[in-house]
Order: sequence, then C-alpha cells, then structure tokens
Amino acid sequence: MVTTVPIDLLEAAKAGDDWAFEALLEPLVDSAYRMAWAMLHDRAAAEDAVQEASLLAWRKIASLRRRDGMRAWFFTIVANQCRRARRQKWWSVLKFPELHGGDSAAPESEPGADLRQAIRGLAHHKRLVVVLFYYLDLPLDEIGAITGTTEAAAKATLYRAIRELRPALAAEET
Amino acid sequence: MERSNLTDHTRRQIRQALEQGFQPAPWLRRQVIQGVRLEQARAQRKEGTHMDTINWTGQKRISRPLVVTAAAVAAAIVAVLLLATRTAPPAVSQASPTVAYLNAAHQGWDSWYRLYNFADSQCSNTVAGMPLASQCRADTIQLKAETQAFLDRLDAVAVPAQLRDRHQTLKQGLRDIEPLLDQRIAALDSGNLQALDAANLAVFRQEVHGIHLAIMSIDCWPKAAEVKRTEDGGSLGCVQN
Repeated sequence: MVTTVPIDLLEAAKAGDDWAFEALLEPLVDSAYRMAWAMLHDRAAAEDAVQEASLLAWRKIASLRRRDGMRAWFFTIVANQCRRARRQKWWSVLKFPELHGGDSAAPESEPGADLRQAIRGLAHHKRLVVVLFYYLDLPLDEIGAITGTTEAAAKATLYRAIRELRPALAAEET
Repeated sequence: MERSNLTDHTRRQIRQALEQGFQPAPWLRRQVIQGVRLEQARAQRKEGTHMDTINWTGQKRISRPLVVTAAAVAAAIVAVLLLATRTAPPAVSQASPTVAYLNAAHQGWDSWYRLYNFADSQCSNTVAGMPLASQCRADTIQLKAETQAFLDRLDAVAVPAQLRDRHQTLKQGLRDIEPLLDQRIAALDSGNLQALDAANLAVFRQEVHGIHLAIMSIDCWPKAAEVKRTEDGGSLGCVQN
C-alpha cells in the first residue's frame, strides 16, 4: 500500500517543475521531521536532516521511479540523512562526561525514559522500522520499500526489535 | 502484522516514549521549502545564460498539458488549505510578534550553527593532527562575524514579553563566545595544539550551555530546556513535567 501521488504532479516534478516538487514535498515535511526527531532526539539535528534530505530529493527527483512512491522515496532519503547525522554526531562522547561531572549513570526519571533509552539503543535499521511502524503508522510494505528490503523482511526486523524492547516495554507496565 | 490490541498497546507505549511532548515547529515547513527555493535559485544562477535552452530541452522539459494539470492540482490544494484555515483558526497568528521573533531567532541560529559546526570540525581535526589550521582560522573568523550578525538580528526584532529573559540569556551567550573564539585564533597562531584543544573545549562548552541551551529554552517556552544524556553522548530537550 505505497502511498501514491498525482502522477502528473510527479511527472512534472521529475521534468524539472520546481513548483510541482514543492507541492509534493510540503505535505511530507512534518512526518519526516517526526521521524528524524524519533531517530536523532535532537531538534537541530532533525531539522538539518530534513532540510538536507529535501535538497537531495530536489536534486534527485528525476531518479524517482513511480512504483516507489514519493513518500517512501523521500523517507528513505531522510533515514539515510539520520544515519549520516548519527555518524557525524556533533556531540562527542569524550566531551560529554565533562558536562555532567562524570556522572555517567544518571538515569532519566520521566515516564517512558527506560523505553526511550532502549529504543535509542537499537541498531539503526531496527530503530527505523520501529519508528516507521509504531510512530508514523506506516504499513509494512511501505516500510520494506523505505528500508530497501521486503515486507517480510521489515516484519522480521520489527519482530526482532520488539523482542529486544520487551524488557523495557514490560517495565513500563509496572 | 495485524493491528491487534497488543500492537495498539505497544504503539501507544512507544509513541509516548518517543514524543516527549514533541510537536514539529510551525515554521519548519516554510523553512524547508525556503531552503529548497534557495537551492533552486542557486542552481538557476549557475545555469545562467544557458537557461533559455535548458528550460526546454532534456531533463528540464515540461510539457504544457503537464503544467496545466499541475496548476489545476495546485489550485485544488490551495482551495483545500484555505478552507482548512478558515474552519480551524490558528493558535498563533502568523503575523504575531512571537512568530516573527521565533523566525528571526531560528534564521539566525541556523546560519550560526552551521558555521559553528564547520569551524568545530576543522579545529578538532587540526588538534588531531590534520593540516587544517588555515581552515580552522578562516571558519572561526567567519563564525565570529556570524555571531555579531546573529546579535544584530536579535536586536532588530521585537521581543515578546514572555521571552525577554531567554532572549537576554541567548544574547549573553553569544557575547560570551566571542572572546573564546579569539582565544582559539590566538592558540592557532601560536601553534600550540594543547592550547587549541583547550580553546576548542571552551568554545564547545559555551556553545552547549550558553547558546544551544538558550535557543532551546526559547523553543521550549513555557517549559525550561535541559541537557540530557543519550547513548550518543548528549542532547538538549525540553524539561518534561
């Protein structure tokens, strides 16, 4: 169930119509930002990821195949930008203890903190699938398209991710 | 995967854990679109005198039926958006002083933070032994100029009463980083990598506690902002209570 967009608009964007591209992009920005936020948990980094992804999408729109769908294609770019941002994280692990006087074990105390930590601890591809399925409500076939796999592979990844999250999910119940 | 009760329950738990009261900033869509437009304008300038031919050949060819169809779709989208805005009045008017202030603060921040990252990267790599001292120096000088530009931008906009304290904190944070940038340049000029490392750390701390936290607290209002630990090291967020 990959979301489709008006074909003429898509074709116009692919042909270089900047207005058509904006019309396609704009409705996706909020969801893309939510996704980037959930992946990075840093407002500025999420904004940068979405902005960079938008510019990349504009440059590469001609390569979009119709069967991929604009949303899946754009979210793939955002996901890649998030992975890149995490690799180039501006916040050095080495520098961090200085900020907290070496208090590395200080736990977050607000509700959901343990689960949030557990989600952040997932490998990128598992976290991405969790965010897309549970946070953005995307169907598994579209998640497969975004992650470059299949619906079945996305489902399997989701299953493995939830198994890893189970202790934190159970802890939330208590 | 079926939408079982268990899945819905898990979804609620995960959504609650991820959101932390998060909402996409109202100006973000416009900001992203503006960024794309800037890139489009830049590309057009690059194409320069070839525009006449490029526009109607190869990749850039647009058939008239497509343009007409796209225009019709656009008109429909605009009509729907107009109807939506009429039936649901916005919480904050686009022309309100708060929105104008937030736009100015964010535009200033975006330019400043981009330069900060460039400079931080070049200067950290210089300490690591890469021959990037001249780039570190140039980027730091540019960052200093951008710091002043950010201050000027903040001075030029009306400050909403509820953000006055946070506005002053941000300005102080920006003023306080200027001597630290001078220290970095002095360390570079002396060729003392240890001093450069210390200056880089001082700049970093000021960026986090003096500037990043201040801009975040403006974003978070009426909540406060805080530095949070993550598995990556750290991040900034709004205090949840």
